[in-house]
Order: sequence, then C-alpha cells, then structure tokens
Amino acid sequence: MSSLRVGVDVGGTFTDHILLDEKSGVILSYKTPSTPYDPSKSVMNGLRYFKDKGRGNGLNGLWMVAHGTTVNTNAILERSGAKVGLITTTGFRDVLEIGRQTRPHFYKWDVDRPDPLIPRYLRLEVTERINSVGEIITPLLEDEVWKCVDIFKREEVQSVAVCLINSYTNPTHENRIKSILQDGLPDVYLAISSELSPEFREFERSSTTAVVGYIGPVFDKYVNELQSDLQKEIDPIPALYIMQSSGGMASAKVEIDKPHLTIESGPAAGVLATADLGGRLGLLNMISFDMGGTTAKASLISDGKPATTNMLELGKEATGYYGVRITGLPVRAPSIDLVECSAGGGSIARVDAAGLLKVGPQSAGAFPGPAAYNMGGTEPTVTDANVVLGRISPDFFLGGELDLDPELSRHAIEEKICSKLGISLEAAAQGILDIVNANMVRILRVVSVSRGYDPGDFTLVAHGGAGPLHAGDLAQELGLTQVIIPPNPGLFSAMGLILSNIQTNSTVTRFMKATQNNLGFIREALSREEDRCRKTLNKEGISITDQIIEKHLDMRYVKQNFELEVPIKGSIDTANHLEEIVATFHSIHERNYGHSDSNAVVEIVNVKARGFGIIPKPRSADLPFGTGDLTGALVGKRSVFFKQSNGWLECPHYDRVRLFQGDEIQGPAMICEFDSSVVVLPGQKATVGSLGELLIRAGKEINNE
Amino acid sequence: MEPKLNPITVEIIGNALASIADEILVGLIKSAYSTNIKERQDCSSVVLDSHGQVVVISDMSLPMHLGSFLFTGKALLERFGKDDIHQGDVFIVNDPYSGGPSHLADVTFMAPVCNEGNLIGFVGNTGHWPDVGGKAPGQAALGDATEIYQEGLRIPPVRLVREGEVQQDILNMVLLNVRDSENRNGDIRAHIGSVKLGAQRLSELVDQYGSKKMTFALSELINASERQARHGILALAEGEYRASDALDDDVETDEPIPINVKLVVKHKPTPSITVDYSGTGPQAKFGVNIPLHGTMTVVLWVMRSILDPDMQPNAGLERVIKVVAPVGSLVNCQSPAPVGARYEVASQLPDTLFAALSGAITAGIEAGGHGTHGMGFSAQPPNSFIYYETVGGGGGARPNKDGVNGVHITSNLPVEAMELEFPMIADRLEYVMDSGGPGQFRGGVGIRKDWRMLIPSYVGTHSNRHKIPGPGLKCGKAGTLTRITKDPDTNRSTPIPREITFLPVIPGDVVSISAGGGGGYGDPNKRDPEKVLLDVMNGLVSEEAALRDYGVVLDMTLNVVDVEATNNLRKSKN
Repeated sequence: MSSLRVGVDVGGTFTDHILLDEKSGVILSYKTPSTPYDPSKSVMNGLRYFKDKGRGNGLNGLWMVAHGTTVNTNAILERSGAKVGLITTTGFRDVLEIGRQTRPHFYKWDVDRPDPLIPRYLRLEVTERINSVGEIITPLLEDEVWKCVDIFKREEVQSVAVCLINSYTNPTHENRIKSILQDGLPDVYLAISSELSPEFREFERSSTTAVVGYIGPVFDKYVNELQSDLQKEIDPIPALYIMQSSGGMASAKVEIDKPHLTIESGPAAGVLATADLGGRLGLLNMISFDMGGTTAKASLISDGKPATTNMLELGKEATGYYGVRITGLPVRAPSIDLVECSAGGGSIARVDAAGLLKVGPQSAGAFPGPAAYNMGGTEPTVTDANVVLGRISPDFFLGGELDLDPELSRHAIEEKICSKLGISLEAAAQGILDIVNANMVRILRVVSVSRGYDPGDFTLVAHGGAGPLHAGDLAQELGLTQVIIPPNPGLFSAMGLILSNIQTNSTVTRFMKATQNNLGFIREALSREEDRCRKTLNKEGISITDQIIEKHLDMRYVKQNFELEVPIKGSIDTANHLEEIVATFHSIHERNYGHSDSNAVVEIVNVKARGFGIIPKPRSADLPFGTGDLTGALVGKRSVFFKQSNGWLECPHYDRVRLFQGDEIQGPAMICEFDSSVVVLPGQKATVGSLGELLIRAGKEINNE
Repeated sequence: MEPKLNPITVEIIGNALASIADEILVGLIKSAYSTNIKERQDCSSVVLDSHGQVVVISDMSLPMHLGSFLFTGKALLERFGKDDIHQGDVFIVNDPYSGGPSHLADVTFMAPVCNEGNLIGFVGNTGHWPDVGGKAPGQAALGDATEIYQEGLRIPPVRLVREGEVQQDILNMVLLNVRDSENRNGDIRAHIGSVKLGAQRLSELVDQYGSKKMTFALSELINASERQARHGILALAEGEYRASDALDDDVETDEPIPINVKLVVKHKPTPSITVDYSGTGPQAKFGVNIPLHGTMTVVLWVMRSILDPDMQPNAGLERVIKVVAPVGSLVNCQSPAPVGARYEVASQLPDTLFAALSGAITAGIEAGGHGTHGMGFSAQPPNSFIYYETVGGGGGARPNKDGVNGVHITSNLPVEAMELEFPMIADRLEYVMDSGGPGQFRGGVGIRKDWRMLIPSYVGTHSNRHKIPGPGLKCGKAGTLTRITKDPDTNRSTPIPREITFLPVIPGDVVSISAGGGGGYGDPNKRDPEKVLLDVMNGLVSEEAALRDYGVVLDMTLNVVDVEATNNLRKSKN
C-alpha cells in the first residue's frame, strides 16, 4: 500500500517538490516560494498542495519524505547557531581560533579569518594529556570538568563541544568528560570529537566538533518540528530522510546526531540525479553542471560514481582545493566534491580600472534582479546579455509569468560596458558571456583536468535554471563531444532526492604499512568498518539483500601527508591482492601528481567503508517516438546572435514538451520549456532521447576569435 | 604583425594561467614529503613569459616567494640561451646571487614550454626545504654563518631534467649535500612532477590558441598590471613619504640596524613610485641581510596590496615601482653575505612602508607587526630529525579594526602532525594576554607555543622584534616584544637568544616562545569601552591593562563597564 515518496529541495528562491508513485511510476511536481524565516513552512505547503488537491491519492501511502535542506548552512552563514562551550586540553583553547595562523588573503590586509563559532571565554581547559600513540601521559582531573559544568550552567550554553589533543588515538578522556556532562548538563547538546571525526590534525577536528555543537541544536529543532508537522497532517506519518553531502540519504532518526554530514545537502542531490540519469543511459563518465541565479557548481562522475572529498571549508572562496591553505572553517565530512564559482544569471558585469571586462562575483540576486526583470536593477547581468543576444525568449520565461524587457537589458549594457570599452552591443554582451563561461570552464577544469581527467572523455549534464543556456558553449570550450539536458532541468535536484539511496560511512584512522605482514590487520579493520555500516543499515530497516558495501583504503607514500583513496574489491585474502592494490595506488598517484615511485613504501592511513541501502528508483515509461516531423513543436523563428558565426542567425524555436523520442534538431536552434531554454549552436545537433533528455553533439571545432 | 586579441580573450587566458599555477601548487603540496611543504605549505608557483618575466603567480603563493621567480627565468636565458632550452627540461636553482630565490632554503624548479621549437614561457614552483646542507641542520646556522657558503649547498641554474630524463649525476650531487636526503628526494619528485603537469597544461593552452596569440596575451597581461598599478597610484597624493624602523641588532653587537624609507609618489609624466632605502644600515656579518630582489619582492607585495589587490604582481607592476637600495646595505647585500634569516628584515619592510603610507591613505594599511619567528629543532644520528616551524604573533591594528591575532605569513604545523613525526610534545599553543599594542584599535595578540623535548636535541632560533617592538600608528602604542625561554615559569627559567645555532636541550626541557603583539592604531583612550570589556572577558587584555592602557574601569563581577568612572579617568588622563 505504501508506495508514495516525496522529494523536497529547499533552495534560496524556490522550494521544489517531486511526488513519485512507485507502483505506477507517475511523477508530479510542484514549485512554491521558499520561506527562509521558517523553511519547514514551504516544505509543508507543497505537501499540503498534493494532499488538498487530491493529487497523489491525497498522500495516502506516503512512506518517505526525502529532504534536501540548507538549514545547517544558513545557521553558519548567518551566525544564528547555538551558544556553545568548548572543553579542551590545558594549553590549547586557542587552537580553534588560531587555525593554521595564516591570513585568508595575502594582499587584502583587512580581510580576517572567520570568527570562531565559540568565543574565547567559553573555551575552557582541563588537565589531561594523551600522546600520539594513545598513551595517557597525564590523567584527567575530573574536578576540573565539574568546574566547567558550573561555568557552562551559569553561561546557559545550549551545547558543549569536546576536543582533546590526540583523542583520535584514545577516546577514554573524551568519553569520561561526556558522561560527566551528561550527568551535570542533562539538557545540553553534546558534540564529542572522537565520535564525530577520529582523525589527526587538531584544528580540523576541533572545527568539525564546534560546527556540530553550533548547528546541532538548530538542526534538532528543525527536524523535530518538521516531524511533528508531518505527524499532525499526514497519517500514517511518513519517515523523514535528510540528504547528506555525500549524496546518500539518512533517516532523521538514525543520524540526527551528525548534522555536519548534511551541509551540502541540496547541491548533492543534483549530482545524484546526474549519476542516475547516466546509469539509465549507459553513461559512466559525466560532469554534473548546475547553474542557477548566483552560483554555478561542477562535480565529476567517473565510472558511474560521483567524486568525493573528506573535507569542506565553510566561508572559503571556493577554489576547489579544500584543505590546501585552510582559510575557512573546516568540516570533516564525506561530501560530493563540488566546486562552485560566483557565476549565475544574476552575476553583474563591469569594466574595471584597467579597462578589463569583469563578471561577478557580485550578483543582482532575486531582487532587484537583472535589468530585464524591470524591478529596479540597472546593472547589466549575464541574463541581460543572454536576453540581448536573443538567447532567452521573453514569451517562455517562467512560462511567461515574468515579463522580460529586452530594452532595459540593452540600455544597461550600453551604458555600463559599451560606452567604456567602445565596442558594439553584441560584442559587449558576447564578452559578458565569454567571461562568465570562462569562469565556469575554470571550475569544470578544476573537477576534471586538475584531477587528471580529460574532459573530452566526459558528457556534460547541464541543469539548474541557467545551465542549459550555457552548456553548448562550455562544451565547445572544453572540447567535450556531448551534452545532455535532462527533462525539467530546473527541478533536477528535487528529482535527485527521490533517486538517492540510504547511505552510511564509517572511517577509522589506522596507520600501517601496506605490506604482507599487515594483511591480517588490514582485513580485520576493513571488516570492522563493514560491520559498522551494516549495523546502521539494519537500523534503517534495510534488508540484507538491499545492502551494498564498498571498501576503500586511504593510502600515501610514507612521509607524505595527503592521502589518495584506493577502492578495494572483495576482501584482501592474498599478498597478490595487496600488491594489486598498491599498484593501483601508484597509478592513481601518477595520474594526480605527475609522478610515482614503485620502490617507495606505501602506507595505509584510513580504513573506510560505505554502506548503501538500495531504494527502488522511479522508472517512467520511455517517451514515445515521433514521426521526425518537427512542425508540431515549432513555435516560431527567432533571431539569435552566435559568436561562432559572429552574427545574427534566424533560428527555429521549439517547445520542448512537444518533442518526441528520436526527433532531431539541427543547430542553430532554440528549445524552450517552463524553467529554462536550450541553445543549440550552429553545427551542433540535438536529439531527443528515450527519457526525454536532449543529447547535443558537438560539431565544429572551437573558434577562438 | 601582432595578432589582434580582445581584452576578453586576454582575461580568459589569464584565468587559465592562474588555474595552471594553482594546479602546480596543489600537486606539490599534496605529494611532498617534508612537513615544511606538505603541512606548512611554505611553497609557491608561477608562470613566466619567454623573456623570463613573471606573468601570473598562484593566488595561493606566498608573497615572499615572488622573489624566487623575479630573476630566475632571466638567469636561465642568460646561462643557456633560448636555443638550449627545450620542452621536457626542468631546471633547479637556489642561489640568491645567481638569479635564484632570496635565500638558499627556497629551492626553485622551472620547466620551459615550447611550441614548434620556440620558447613560449616557463612554469615553476619553489618550496622551502627543511635542510639544504650547510654547517648545521635545518637552516639552524642562521645565528653564526658569516658567509653564504656556510648556509648550505649553492645551486646555480642547473638542468636537472634533460628533455624528460633526470640527470642522475646532478641529482646525486644535490642529495649528497643535504641532510635527510631520502625525504628531499621525495620532495624533488613532487617538485618535478608538478611542474611537469603544469608544463603539459600550458602546452595544451598554447595548442588551443596558437603560439602567436599566446605570446601576445602574455605581454598584454603584463601591460594590464602596469595599467592597474598606474591607475592605483593616481589615488595617492603626490609627494614624499618617510618612515623609519630598525632591526634589533646585527647579531654580532647590540647595535640596532636602521631601516629608512622614502616613498616618492609622482603622477607625471606617468604615475610612478620610487621606494628609496638610502640611509638604511650596512649589511650585517650574520644572515639577517636581504638581497635586492628580496627587498623588491616585499615592495611589490605591499604595492599590489595598496594599489589594487586583484592585480597580478608581475613585470607590469615592476615597471611602475622603482626600488633604490644602497649597494652593500642591509636591504641590498652583496655576495658572499649570508641571507638565511632574510625574512626578519622582510617582515619589517611592510611595517615601514605602511607607516610611510599612513601619511597618504587611511585604508588597507596596518600598524607595525610582530616580525617573524622561526624555531628549528634537530638531533644527530641515530635518532636524527629536522623540524622547522614559524610561530605567529600579532598583526598591526588597522584604521578601522583590530589587528589579526596570532598570524604569520606561513602556516603552523598541527600539534598532532608534529607529535606523530618528531620526538617532542607540545605543552601549549595559546594567545598571550596584553601583548597587543593599545590603541583605538588594538594590535593583534601574539602566540605562545611550548615544546617539551623527548630526546637530546638542538634548538635553533631566528626571530626579530626582541628589542624593537612593532610600532603603533596615529597615537597607537607598540605591541610587546618577543621572548624565547627555556623552562619558562620555573626557577630554572633562562632566556634563549633570538639567533642561535646549536643550543643543546635534554629530555624534559621545555622551549617556549611568546611572540610579540602588533602595534595599535589610534588613541587607546578613544577605544570603545565595550570592546575593552570584551577583550577582558576573553582574557586578551587584563583588568589592570584596561585601566592602565585604556582608562577603562570595569566591574568584572557583573561584566559591565563603569561608565562614569571611565569617563572621569579618561578626562583626567587628557
């Protein structure tokens, strides 16, 4: 009976709902304005819409609400988290603030490191010390912990973070402190470093623990309120699942105590949807590209799997290099490796002092928005450049709900760009697109080329409201052979939520050489991590047949400090198998860093397992074949400027929902739908695929000028 | 004929070069062996044009390392000539008197990129090695080397890789002359691997645009910086601006060495700045000297900050800023003067430039900082190790806010990373109360770090602002001095000099540094009393200092300012 699932993605402007009927495969969607003052409101608004409109059987049989949330990110960005106290080893209360002691910007002397989430007067110390091999060299003075309890009571902290030096090697003292705090401060939220992130480097571990202390109470409250709303309005109450940054779902009940795992909750869903689409189309290597109003995000999927990272840095200008020159607030959490840049439809173009054209990072945002919106914006934006060049059809823009005024776009660009550079309107508008595209090419390169992958081997999957507009040009710049635009690109992240599996990760730091005499230890450690994953999956109610476990070793050459993840197939039973793994490490190292040394000793640092609980995927029926005759979908002709031909071309303009499988559209052409437009460049050809996706294949080579 | 390139394509190529430089740096950090590079990330990367001029450095590069690149390309061209520089070559250099970096410890690697046999440019990186040989491990001879020969192996520009083949004989010679050679070999592989990747990326870019357009774009990127710099100068009033400071001493005697600077800002005929160090003291016998290109590096670093922080500090900026430094002075030392501790002077040069500029601007500058503090630890075989770390002090206060607490240009080494690799235990890493110079905006506070020895070892130090603190600006007061101590807070407590080579220590000994604070900005009596209260609550300022330095009366039982008493006290002070 229970066969309905809802995916809810809360974004900055809109909250997207997708309702899936597992039995029929029918999918319904709903878009409603977000309610930033109380994000659960827009979540419930959408659910009520389905229920009240009698759609989706009045939500009868809804068993899962899969949720992508920005509640945690916002608490940090807006500094609206809990009042937290810290307990650490005597002598180290400033670790959290000193960090790596460097400046965030070497040339901007007025830029500071982010303020610590816990002020100094709430950072308390206790006498104790454990050394790097886990021996207690100074026992814990418990009286001092009780003194901390008194101070925290007086200060009325809402949570306490505990991070002691070297606790990753031996959690005894942290455990003891935890039980004292549980006795002394029963209503206070606790974040314990050895439970959250048992890995070396005290600043990164402290920071992760402080972040959990800071967002934990906020997240708890949000989830509890949402659950009680669900209980009030939907019977029987569906289970609430939260998307984690790793791209897997965890039920709110099982992993609510690890809110740091959900920081990139929303963006991860879009990458997941890309991976799933690729799986259905038989594509293994893709770049997920998501472009909205203010940011663009890129992520690599290789061999069907999204690239992952073990650390995020909050408040850092995204370079894609987390953990190198740490200047933000580091959070150790497995995450899909997303690289962002300030490039979106609202990014503002300007001419700088040296006479160079720059685009972003300032954004016109939703208000006043691009000049074309006629809401008071006078700065030229990327959207205005697209409008001026005819690449956005005013009739189709958000289904015609918002009137675009191309005259205002033209005026903004002429006044702010053309007059200063002495170039034509087309040249200026095209210049804006070229620069924003170059910024995006840079992040696409960071996730591919910089990681040692040739972008030519990858398919670009473009989504988000603005992604499809720019995809064709980006593909040409990068030398990609094909681009895919999924159906409903603006709702793609919400789709990802109902496609995601349950996921749990388990990691332990275990330094050992990758040599035969450690074979037993390695095998044992791997199976212990596997067991931990299975335990969580059992708690999630996943039957053993629906459980999949992946195992990895983080490895490096002895004396290095950054590790590379090496996948482990099966169990390591023989020396030969271990040798194969070491050989894989050498080749991954060569690919990443341009060198390797097959004679050097390789060591294992972390032993990791990832457990997946498989959730049935919606499988809509294939799009029917058409006759190949496009006249039914043709809505008119438009004049569009193409840099490839350095001029205006008349091109046909199609309504995407009226296209059928097998239809082929030769560029130049425009294909529009409710939430985005696709530009097919001269020489490119778009084919409508079995799932309604548009496959665009490159034709001509790059033309630089 | 010059190809036509619009400013947009130039911008795009500039972005691509920046991302190449980033990639080189990340590759180096992630695959290096020494803590100095992998954890402290004391390393940088660059793209040069075919004349050896700097075009783009990675944003993650250390400003001081620009000096590693300013003359290296030109030195390579002079020694080898364009025709003998080939794709697949990698050159190595560390000698400051042969076109290399500004001290021997920064070892620089350069890989040329050619297109159809024509040189297009170079990519390079530089990393601060923990040891380059010399009379004491880990650059510890800073306190007593009197010639650069004693500071380590001097490598002129040398071809280490010939068209893809490592020259094993040269590699062997380098490795034989440095301690801990196995790990240095790992670092060298990381240096070469990452410039190789960078060269490959640049080649791909050249293939995409063609060599003519690329060459033109490189020169245009340099021109763009020149325009940005000249435009920035117009925002500074024409005139002469002076300031002075001094280095604590010449290590040999107690005499301070004066640092004098005069900035001449001109708008005509074209906007330019001359930075004149006439009147600065003579070069010292020991390694606190800085070669001219090191001085230029700091000047360009500060000028980029002031004129336009978003510009590339490349050859275009060099065209606009003229540096005059007397030959044989502290800031333009001559071979074979030792230069190991050149960052001491380098750390004070921005203070002096900002002080001079405070006559012209009130944004983007800082009061005097804490200097620099390098702590080296080592032991002889069989338990030999070499470990080097910098410790952060207080940054100078700024015209609109307090100075940065506990800051250094290079990263620290995480305590847990240190304890995994070296036979020491850290006893503390914390802020020093009352170290920030009082002011309307307070100077940043310094860091105290204590190490407890587990085996018999040696300590080496190089650290400044032990006698002359980071000065305040506009009535702000100076920060505290730096102190290094053995067995602090005990009756055995003894001071450790700021420059020492081999100080033996035994298990149980504690070596402690309390780095100084930054200077304050503005009159401390004008500081918002609520900020003083917050500082006292946070233990950064003591109650006594609040009263003495700021004239603020607090009631710490209630955590409030006694407004009336404070007003009266402040009035009586005036």
